[in-house]
Amino acid sequence: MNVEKVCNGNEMTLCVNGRLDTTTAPSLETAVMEVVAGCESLVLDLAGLEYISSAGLRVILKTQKIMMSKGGMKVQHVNETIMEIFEITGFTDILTII
Amino acid sequence: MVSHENERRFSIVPDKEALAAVSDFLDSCVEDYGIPLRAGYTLKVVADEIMSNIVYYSGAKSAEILLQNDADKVTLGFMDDGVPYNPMEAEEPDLTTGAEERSLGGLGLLMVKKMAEQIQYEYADRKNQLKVVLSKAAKKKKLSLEDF
Repeated sequence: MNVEKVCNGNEMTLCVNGRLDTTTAPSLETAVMEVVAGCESLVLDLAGLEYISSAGLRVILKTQKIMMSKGGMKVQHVNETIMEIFEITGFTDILTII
Repeated sequence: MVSHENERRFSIVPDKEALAAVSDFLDSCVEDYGIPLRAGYTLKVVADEIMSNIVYYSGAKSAEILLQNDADKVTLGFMDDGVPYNPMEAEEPDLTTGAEERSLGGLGLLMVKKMAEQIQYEYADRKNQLKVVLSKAAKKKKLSLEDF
């Protein structure tokens, strides 16, 4: 799993590629912590996300909570399988998916 | 022990390296049996969640996974010698609360329950024995006005 950072003024885009599971989720959390102080809003681009487990969901939820106290977070390019996971877990209600 | 062509067993010590090993085992089953993409993904999510619980919470010293491949379904069996624990009795997270209140726990088991056709649990021979049946059918399309 790797995370690409794209900075656009006050908005940071994190492109998540590969698998988000128990082993790799901490790396995403680290990447989020590294950028969150310096940006007002966040975009998670999941075009390259192949797989997500509950460990990955927890990091996304934690990130959403942090960004809610700032300028918010959007999630984009969610594929059909990942979207199904979001629907099952109610994440479609919590996340701003564009 | 009789070995069947449509069945594979994988015994493992449930430590942190086990999760990657289980994933590799499932990848080879999916490839060898030609299991469809969506069912293959579901298998891995279910196994990831169940095995994570076994690795991190059960105190088990040994575990075994059984994969049974049938025409229309795949069955995953999990056996471990950890503390007696029925995941079906785990409290579901409250999905009606917003992100502020949403509990971080229980998400994994919720995913398993929603994705599975059938789940059976028993504690026998001092082992947790869990069986999860997953359909191979493609996802049902959401109907829209254009379908009629």
